Amino acid sequence: MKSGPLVILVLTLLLVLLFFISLFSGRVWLPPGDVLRSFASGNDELAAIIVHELRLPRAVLAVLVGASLGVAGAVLQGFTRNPLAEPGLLGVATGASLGAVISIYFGFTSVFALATPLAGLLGALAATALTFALGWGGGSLALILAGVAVSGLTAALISLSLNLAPNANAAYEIMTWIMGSLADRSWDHVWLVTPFIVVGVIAMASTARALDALSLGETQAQSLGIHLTRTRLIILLGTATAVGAATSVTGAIGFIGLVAPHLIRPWVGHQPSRILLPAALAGAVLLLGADIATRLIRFGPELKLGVFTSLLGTPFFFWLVVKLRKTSP
Amino acid sequence: MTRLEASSVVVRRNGRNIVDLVSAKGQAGDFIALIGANGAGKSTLLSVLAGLLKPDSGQVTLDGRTLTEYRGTELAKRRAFLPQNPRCEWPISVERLVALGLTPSLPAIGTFPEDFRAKVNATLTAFDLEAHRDQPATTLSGGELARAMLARALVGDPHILIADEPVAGLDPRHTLDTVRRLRHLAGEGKLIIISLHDLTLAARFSTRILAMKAGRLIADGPTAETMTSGLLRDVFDVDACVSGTGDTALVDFSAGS
Amino acid sequence: MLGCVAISSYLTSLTVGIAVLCGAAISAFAQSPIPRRVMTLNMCADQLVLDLLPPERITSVTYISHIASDENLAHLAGRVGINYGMAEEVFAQSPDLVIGGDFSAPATQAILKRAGYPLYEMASAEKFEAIREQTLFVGRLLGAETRAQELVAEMEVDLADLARTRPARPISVVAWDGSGIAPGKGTLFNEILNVAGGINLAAEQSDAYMVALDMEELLVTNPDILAYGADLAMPSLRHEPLKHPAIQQRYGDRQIAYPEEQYVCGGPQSSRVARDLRAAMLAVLAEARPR
Repeated sequence: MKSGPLVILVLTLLLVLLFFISLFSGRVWLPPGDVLRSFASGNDELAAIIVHELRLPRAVLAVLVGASLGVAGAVLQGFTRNPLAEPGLLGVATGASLGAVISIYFGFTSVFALATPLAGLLGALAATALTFALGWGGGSLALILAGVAVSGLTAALISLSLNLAPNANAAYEIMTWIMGSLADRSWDHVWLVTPFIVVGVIAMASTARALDALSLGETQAQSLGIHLTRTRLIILLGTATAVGAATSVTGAIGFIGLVAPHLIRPWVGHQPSRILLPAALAGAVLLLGADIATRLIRFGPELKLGVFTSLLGTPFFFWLVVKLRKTSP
Repeated sequence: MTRLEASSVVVRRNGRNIVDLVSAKGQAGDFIALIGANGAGKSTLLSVLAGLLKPDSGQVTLDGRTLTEYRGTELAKRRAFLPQNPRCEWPISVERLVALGLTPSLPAIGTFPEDFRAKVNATLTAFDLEAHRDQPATTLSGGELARAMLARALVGDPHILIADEPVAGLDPRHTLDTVRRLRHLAGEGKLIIISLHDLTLAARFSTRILAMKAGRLIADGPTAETMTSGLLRDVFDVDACVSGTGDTALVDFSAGS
Repeated sequence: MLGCVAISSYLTSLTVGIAVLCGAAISAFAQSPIPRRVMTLNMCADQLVLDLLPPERITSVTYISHIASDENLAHLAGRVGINYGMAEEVFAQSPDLVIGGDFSAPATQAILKRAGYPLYEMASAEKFEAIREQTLFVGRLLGAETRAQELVAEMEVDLADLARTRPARPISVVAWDGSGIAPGKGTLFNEILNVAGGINLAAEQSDAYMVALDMEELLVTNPDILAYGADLAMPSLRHEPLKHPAIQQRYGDRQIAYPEEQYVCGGPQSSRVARDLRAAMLAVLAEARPR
């Protein structure tokens, strides 16, 4: 209770700091003076274009996407009471990728701009609904297994649609796209996903009381007046909306949703509702930090963000499994 | 005046009536012990009485309105429910665990209201949990956890408490402590309904007995008159000897059944 | 021995063993009579063989040439058989000579080699010098020397023409499509661009065959023209970054789409590709706002 506000303060400061650092980091070195001056000067200078049109939207997108992944992870872990739950594990991310792949390669994107985020959202919704339906009533283990099964199915469907795609390079392109990246995103992408992320995050956050009550298990939560089916539905829609839209713009970015809540939990006394805001901040900090790292670490082409988060996240996952093995009977 | 009434309640599972035409009443001040063999349908009946499970036919009313007419939080404010072996799934502090009992009264968003904090403090004191206030609930002993859960159930001052085997797994001291608290609450005008396997406890502390067998209610009446060796033979298929009444009552099973 | 030279110019680290093998292969071809029925398993070989031989002497070319968006190539391919690079197809069609390539159907080529089937592995030619040698060599191999000399002569005319009309100041270009990688030194694109009077800034920056270049670096590199390999009929992710406001602002009127498949195989037709590229560059610069 005492450390909660402190955690939020520290994370906010860290986020602001990283945001500024991200404006100075790129494969092209811009003198700090030029970066700062670009905010005062017109938009025609090269430095101004690089800062305003490339680095700024990229940083904003990192914050938005990181925050939605963090909240989604916290909400899913709270709801399933399973510390391994995260959007990627429940098929949200692969579902969104499937939707985006279909939209991209069958030409819907050229018809109207919202096609890809909407398709991503629909894909996420369909995959998540299937996961929740398969895992219904079977406890959180069944839910995770259902997520694994659905992820397998959607991955197969992605391969199938690439197989059928009219573009011969589609398989290669989408392989790289699925690795997840914030490179070369623009303000258009920011405007495209912001409404979905805002709506999704608000929906997820509205289940805070229910998540707290669920600490006592489903029966007691229900006895406390929590409507379980409604809660499940809101979480389903909220995660699919926020993560689905985010994934359709950035590709799949794993482990942020898994890691962020875990980093926060001990600092706020493990209460699910108190994890949400700090987990959003932590998600944003992690993603922004990782994105800066991909720009500064150089081996040939830019390291893909999703690859980087997975490389860092997997050892964490191992650690978590080892820890669970020790604590569970 | 709280009145909970079940009429002709039926719950079907896999073509079998696991609660079969049960009708019963309870009111403020009753301490009802529900007894019956394993699988007799006690837990299912308690879930129906608590409004957590909709019966396939029949209905349960609280003060004349069926439970389904109540909004979730409205009902939750009036009755508390404790399932068998309630557990806490995150290592939250005992204080927060108890505060969860106020969930139905909380505003949808915002911080925990100040006057609620006072209620939590009072309940922590009443249940001797002061010393454990900041302890993670997952590290409590069985007895402490049962007490904390009871405190959680009662912090919102409900009119009805329904608990499924609240003393299962507790040592004698904690068992007695829990049952005494429940009787005290009934004395204060609450309606307490619990399922119990310890028949001596049921005989000593409850005011009324409901006995179930194979989904049917086969006895319903004041404890002193209802708890007889004849009933116990019917319910459990064992010979039992019931001696004494009230605080000295004793139920013993014969060796050669 | 020209084929051997062409191959070694491509494989810079040619080992003695391969050189010996290569010599042996050439002498085997030299002794055998002119092949009457030729089959190609490689799209670059498809184009050359279709240019050199009449259709009745070609059993089949790859399916890729049959569906090529280059209408002339697809038309020529349509007059001969089709194959998907399978060993069974080779045995079924039983040609006198199979022409494979560096990366095409490696398993099939391995089987053919083991079976002792007459196989010529054509290296990719990414310089006009290599194209010249390779065309003449394959012409001799197929008994079509005269046609090969004609093709080379046409190419030389184009090249001489391009050299004569070369712009005074080279036009700086980067071939960039958002994949973050641009063709650099030693690529066919680089060669064609140079002949067309352009200078590849990606190759100036690095000695790499493919140069990593992200959007920021592209903007700083600041070429006159941004060229992107395109198959615009196909929906693709690759061109998404071209819609980026930063690119639109700097290169909205300074980009050209070049037909990527014509930059895969170096052949006598590559001089025409260079001519088209020159025309496209001049057209864009004529319209673009001056910098």
